Amino acid sequence: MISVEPGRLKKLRLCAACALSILFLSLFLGGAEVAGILSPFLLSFQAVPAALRAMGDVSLSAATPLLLLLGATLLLGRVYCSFLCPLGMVQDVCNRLGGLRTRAPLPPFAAVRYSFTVLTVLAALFGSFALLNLLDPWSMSGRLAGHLLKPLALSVANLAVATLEIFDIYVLSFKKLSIPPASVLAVILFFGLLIGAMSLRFGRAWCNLFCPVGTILGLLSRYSLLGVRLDPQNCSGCRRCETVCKAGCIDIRRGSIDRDRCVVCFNCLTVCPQGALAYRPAGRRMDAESASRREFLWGLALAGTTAVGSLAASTGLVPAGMVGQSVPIFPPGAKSLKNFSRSCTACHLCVNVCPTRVLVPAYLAYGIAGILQPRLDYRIGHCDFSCHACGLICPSGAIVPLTPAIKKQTRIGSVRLYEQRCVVHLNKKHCGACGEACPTHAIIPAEKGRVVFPTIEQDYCIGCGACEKACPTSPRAIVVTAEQVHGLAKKRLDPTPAAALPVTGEEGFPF
Amino acid sequence: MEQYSTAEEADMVKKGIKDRKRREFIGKGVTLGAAMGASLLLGDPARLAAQIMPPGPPDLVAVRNGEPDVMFRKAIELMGGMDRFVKKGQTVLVKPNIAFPSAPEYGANTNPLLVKAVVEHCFAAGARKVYVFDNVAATSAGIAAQCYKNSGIEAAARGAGAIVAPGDHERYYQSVEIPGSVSLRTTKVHELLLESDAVINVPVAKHHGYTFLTAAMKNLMGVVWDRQHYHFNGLDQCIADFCLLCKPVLNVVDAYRVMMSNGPQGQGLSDVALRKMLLLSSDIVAVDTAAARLIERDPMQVYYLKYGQAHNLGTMDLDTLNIIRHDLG
Repeated sequence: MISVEPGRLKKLRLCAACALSILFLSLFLGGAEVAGILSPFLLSFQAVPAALRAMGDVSLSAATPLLLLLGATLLLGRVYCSFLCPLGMVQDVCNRLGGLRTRAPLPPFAAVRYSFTVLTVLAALFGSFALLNLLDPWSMSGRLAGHLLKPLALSVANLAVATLEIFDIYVLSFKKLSIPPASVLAVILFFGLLIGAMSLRFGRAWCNLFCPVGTILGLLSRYSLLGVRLDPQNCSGCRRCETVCKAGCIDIRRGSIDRDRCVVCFNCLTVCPQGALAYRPAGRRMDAESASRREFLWGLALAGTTAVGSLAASTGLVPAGMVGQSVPIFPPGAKSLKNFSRSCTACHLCVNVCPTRVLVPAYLAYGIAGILQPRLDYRIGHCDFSCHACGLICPSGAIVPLTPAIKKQTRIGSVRLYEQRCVVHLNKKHCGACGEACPTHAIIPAEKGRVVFPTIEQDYCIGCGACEKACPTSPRAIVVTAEQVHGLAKKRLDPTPAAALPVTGEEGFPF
Repeated sequence: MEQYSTAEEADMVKKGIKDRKRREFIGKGVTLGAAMGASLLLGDPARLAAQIMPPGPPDLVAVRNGEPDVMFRKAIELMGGMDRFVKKGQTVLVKPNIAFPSAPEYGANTNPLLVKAVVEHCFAAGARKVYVFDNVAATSAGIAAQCYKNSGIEAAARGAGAIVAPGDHERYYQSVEIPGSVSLRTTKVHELLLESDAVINVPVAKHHGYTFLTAAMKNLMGVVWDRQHYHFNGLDQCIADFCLLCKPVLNVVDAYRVMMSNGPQGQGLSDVALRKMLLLSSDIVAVDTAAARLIERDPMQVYYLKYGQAHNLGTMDLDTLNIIRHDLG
């Protein structure tokens, strides 16, 4: 029988969680470059993004992180929840602030978590991410960090910058704060406060009521090799373990640990004076049972009915083909509206790292099926020509990283000039703000009489919005509309190779 | 015009004027000969140039065929020295063009070597502080750092001891009125403009798709926050109006690499000509007129030059100016 010294396991978990918390904070607050370095390490094993990547790119390399995660769960139990999940770390901090008060075991509420999970998965399979986006713990963490924590951190940083500037020290720059639209903020605050309140008093109750990842990993951990197990013969009934159990899954009266709900935090191992708790494989002796089979079946039945009933009504959740200008503009690397909307869980990490702030969280721009998925807003910024921070960071494959050359030709929108709003057409005076800004020279100057007019050559337009952002009129005279499938624009070629700079050989000065 | 009582009288006056001119010509010729002889004997033919020119510093200096910093050194010497423009203890704003995140070979920004040389000369003339900044062309936030970096200007200016400041946030700008303006009544200018004792304008000369030329006058757009206001209210007139408020003591026009077409961004290296020139003048209209000719455009097409002249900011008539042209090669 293998068993590990209990005190060490909790310390291990605490160290890992602390280290990863610091890394996650760096990911969310450190800017695009830091995020780019940390994201492969921190995000590969986040459950939902890994699953979406595996489904989007059907290859062994894409599926490996997911398989490793599932394998680890089968081996070790729900270790993801205590070691890797950033939302778990947030809840543990709140729980500590709440004083880790004496707890009675919590009822299993199996029906609730199975219903939510089945609904979430079925809706997702039918094309609606409404529940997935809201309940995925990684995405929740991304939004809480990006929209609540980051503005706070930036305000503090800006204060420091402003102080340094008094002394003519300009090494850091003043950052613009981005507050999401009120509807988005309301949703984020609602969940933030809910999870905060729940974890303050009830530890990991969220994880065992609403989290689809927790539920599925919990189901797997029933069969895991290792797990926290109770030896009823050594148990004196002091119930100290119940007071520290964050999941409320130890029930000494019934002599059972519900491994479905155990988040493998190892808190209980250190407090048992009898050594009746251990993290080990199943012994030959009768171990206390997991949550009763009956509960499970009832839960499944309830889930099933709710699911079928909701799906009947859920045809409204699946987006009909979005037509015309109502289609939001989505980032280069997303490939198509369908690919983006079916892979993005609205973690808003792309919004977080976007240097021009053009990526904004949307509320229902993609319909309820794409709730909170982000879009580009050309009133706020434009998609910078040389930048692809979003593609380099997206953990779920909703935005695929493109090579710089391809990104610079990727057409995410097409442009149109409304002459009746353009100051050059109206006032016959020079403007050219759009033409100045266009990185692909899709807008070229055309002299007509004494005035130069902006003229569009659609083939070269990549829909980056630099023109729309620069246009001084309101409403804009030049507007970009989304391409539902991202193709490639034509590229203007530079006929002169780098070495052959023309050298004018004339004498004197031309004046 | 004087009225003469008889045709005879008129002829006599005209003859008198002719005689005087002839005497002056002979006098100048003799002086020239003497100067040439003297300078040959003394072994210093370079003094010849100074002898022929009328006294006082030139209005415009044009140098060619050197590296940017070498050309500047020569140009400022011919102009009478940097201490004509920068006094001891002053705070100077050196305003280059850092519009785009392009490397120097694309000619979209001022050459970093030139910026470095200008900053160094400011300190040599006794400046206490030198600031460098630009409100870059990109209309969205977050690009300025790349412009500062890729252009090489941030490193060059810092290396020379300048304080490189940001221009990409509205908090640095204050609203001012522009008396005498036609279209640009008020604008928000960078506080460094208000804090500096002297401004040295260091633009790069290049083609511009919509104003035909961007050089000294248009470079000052980088000192304001809301450039869209210019575009909306008549770009050319606003450019000229702003020069009523901001009057650089010196304009140093970088024409080392000149973007001859597809400006202001440029499409590639094929737009850039290696002209190795530098223009120096306190007359912002004149130096831009010369720059227009440099990019092979008719100055009359560059409307803000006319408007600038109408505001008495300078002259487009280069023939009335004292111009020194110097070839280093």
